Amino acid sequence: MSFPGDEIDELTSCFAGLSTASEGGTAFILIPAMNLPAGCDPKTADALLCPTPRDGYPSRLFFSAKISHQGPGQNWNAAGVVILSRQWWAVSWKAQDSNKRLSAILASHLEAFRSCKK
Amino acid sequence: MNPILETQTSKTASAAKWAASIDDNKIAISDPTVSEAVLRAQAGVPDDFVVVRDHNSPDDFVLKRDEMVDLRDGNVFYTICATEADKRKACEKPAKLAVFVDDRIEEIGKSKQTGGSIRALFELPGDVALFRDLHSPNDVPIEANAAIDFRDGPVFYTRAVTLVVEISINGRKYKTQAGKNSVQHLKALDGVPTNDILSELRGDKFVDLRDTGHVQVKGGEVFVSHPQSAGSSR
Amino acid sequence: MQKVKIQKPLLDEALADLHRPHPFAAERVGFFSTKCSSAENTTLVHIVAYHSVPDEQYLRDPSVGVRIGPAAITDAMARTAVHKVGQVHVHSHGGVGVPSPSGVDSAELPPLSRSLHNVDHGQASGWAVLSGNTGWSSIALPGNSEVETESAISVVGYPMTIVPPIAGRRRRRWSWRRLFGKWNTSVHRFDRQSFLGPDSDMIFASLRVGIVGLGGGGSHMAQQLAHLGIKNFVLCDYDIISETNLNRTVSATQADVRRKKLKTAIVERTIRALHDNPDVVTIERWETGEEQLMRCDIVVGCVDTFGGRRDLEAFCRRHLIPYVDVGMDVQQLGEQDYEIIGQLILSMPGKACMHCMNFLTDEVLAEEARRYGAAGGRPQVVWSNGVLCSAAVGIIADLATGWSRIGRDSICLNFRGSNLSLSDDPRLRYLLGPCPHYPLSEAGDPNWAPL
Repeated sequence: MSFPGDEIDELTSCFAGLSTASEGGTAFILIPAMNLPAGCDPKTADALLCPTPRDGYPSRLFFSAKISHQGPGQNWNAAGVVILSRQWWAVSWKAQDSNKRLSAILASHLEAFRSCKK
Repeated sequence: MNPILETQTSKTASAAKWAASIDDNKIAISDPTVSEAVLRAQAGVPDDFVVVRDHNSPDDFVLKRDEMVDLRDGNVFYTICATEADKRKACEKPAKLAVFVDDRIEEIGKSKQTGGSIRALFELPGDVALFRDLHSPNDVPIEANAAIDFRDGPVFYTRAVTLVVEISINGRKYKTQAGKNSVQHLKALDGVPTNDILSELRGDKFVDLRDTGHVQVKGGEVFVSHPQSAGSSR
Repeated sequence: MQKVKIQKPLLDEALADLHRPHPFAAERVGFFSTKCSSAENTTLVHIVAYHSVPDEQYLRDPSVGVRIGPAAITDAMARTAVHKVGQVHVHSHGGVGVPSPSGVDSAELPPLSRSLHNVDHGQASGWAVLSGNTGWSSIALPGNSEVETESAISVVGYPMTIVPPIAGRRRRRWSWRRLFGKWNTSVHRFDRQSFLGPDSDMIFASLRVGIVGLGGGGSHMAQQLAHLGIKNFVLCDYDIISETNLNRTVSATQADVRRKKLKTAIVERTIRALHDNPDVVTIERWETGEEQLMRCDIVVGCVDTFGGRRDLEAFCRRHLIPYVDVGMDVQQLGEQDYEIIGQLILSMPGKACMHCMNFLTDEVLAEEARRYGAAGGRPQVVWSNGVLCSAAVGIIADLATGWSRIGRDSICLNFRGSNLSLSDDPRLRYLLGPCPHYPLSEAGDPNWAPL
């Protein structure tokens, strides 16, 4: 699967070192050492974006480690699953804007990790 | 050796050479402090002319006969007929400064420069190094980010440099001179057997190179050697 | 440890080309492209494509069977540079069994092999000799430019040609008996299954089987496979035995429950009771023990979730390992009406996968996710597990020995408990082409393409 060039350009302007690979007919985007929202521990982690339906979600965002945070996404229902020869963790989170641009999908997933407190 | 002479010699040995621009001609001067008489003699100024230090002002400074002048305060001069040298006020503008690279002269706006700014002023190409001309033989190349002060000497020269680049031969990195390299030289770098062919990756193909040939190397080229053929049998 | 693997259709393709007559050469050569799966102490070299050498790239040399010129060599080198794959020079010696290189091969091919490896030290390159059903190879592995490792070539197909990973130059034609010499089980133990083939007991003894999930299904599998003669296992389960497991977990006892014994320990006990010096590795989760599972010739999945099956199959496809999936469930059809259903699937690399078979679908995975993957407490009975697992053991025995002489691509059997029927899924006959979900080009370590 190839992604629209302008959407990739948008992502590469925010994140360095992006790459893509496929498994089982699904294409994934790897974002190495992504800076996570404030309050997350660790502060950075590799992220794996699956922008197509998976496990009943319209899209999924996996991380290379379980992240401690104060956001609303607290149910880690993918724990150490193996995708593309690495282990990944993901929270149960239905991202909005899954039919929209890759950057919008990614931003929507990150809402799960943003603290609601002011 | 006489200690006074020794001091003078060592002082001269590390001191930079100087020059003045008189009517846009480079006049070599050994010392920054020089008399008007020396300038006049070196530039061949006629007796009825005067030497004027250029401040880019109507009050440019007219040198008196035999007056001592410090080139570090300004080394750009011109000559005019003595009859045109009317009385002037003390000049308040700074004198012009000229820098010399090889036989070329350029004026600089301020005394403090860098190697890079001088290179840019004279549009020096990448394959030449810049040196300050010293009385000693051991001139050191000036890097682009090195600080240069006009007062340390305005005379420079250039010398062609040999660019050394990195290439890959059989998966190993080697350094070689940029430009024309013989295939024999490249094979020798990695100890490629004589009978093997050296091949260069160009685009998506490997191109076999003749042993008697040469290649133009810019840096980053990939070479792999291989036997001329390979046989097998049951 | 390293293994070299090729899928049977690709081996057949190579042999068909290599046995074509050439206008003047007595033999033909070709090149394999390779990709690798790497772990800390394990490298699997996967042969992923075959490239014929055009006739005009041969040189006339009656002193050897075949000689190729510089154009064939630089074409192979270019494939490595451009496509990031290794290159292996290959030709055939005919016959069957693991061949040995000839004197000409040993003299001429190592320098070529070094050149191929020098294009990219991150790939596996070298040379190989094929027979009709397997091969021998000498390959420089990624990162190791100086040493070439000799391995037989395992063929992934139905049946498999399984060769244990052994290094060291062999100067004689290989034989299973020479390979193993004496073994310390009684020579009479397997007499009753000699119809599986004269080398079947040694084939089973060299096979390494991974079993993920050691409950009602996995415990059956392990016990029967051990009886069959398999002694090399990777056992994966994190759970301890409980009272509710005793209705179906073979070999588990009340004492085990009282002692809170790990399921892996119970199964290992069963295996060790049947074999001296078996090689049994136990891990809690296969996700953290990937390297051990990579080394298996066959992986059996007796897991509870569809997501787990999907991930396990993807892992096996990446490492070209045949995957056997076993599972059962009880469906409530009415107030007092139940049906036991189950499936037995052989997912063979290159052939229909569980997605192709419509066993894994977005709907079942979504439904499972909605239930947060909970599978605990679902009905399970020993005899259904027994039927399915016994059939699975039969598939493994056939896969390893080919005793039935029935070639199969994939297997999908549906079990119905009410009438004890185990039947072919009718959809399978329509799944004839290669699997589009797991192309051979995606075997080995992932290909991360920069964006």
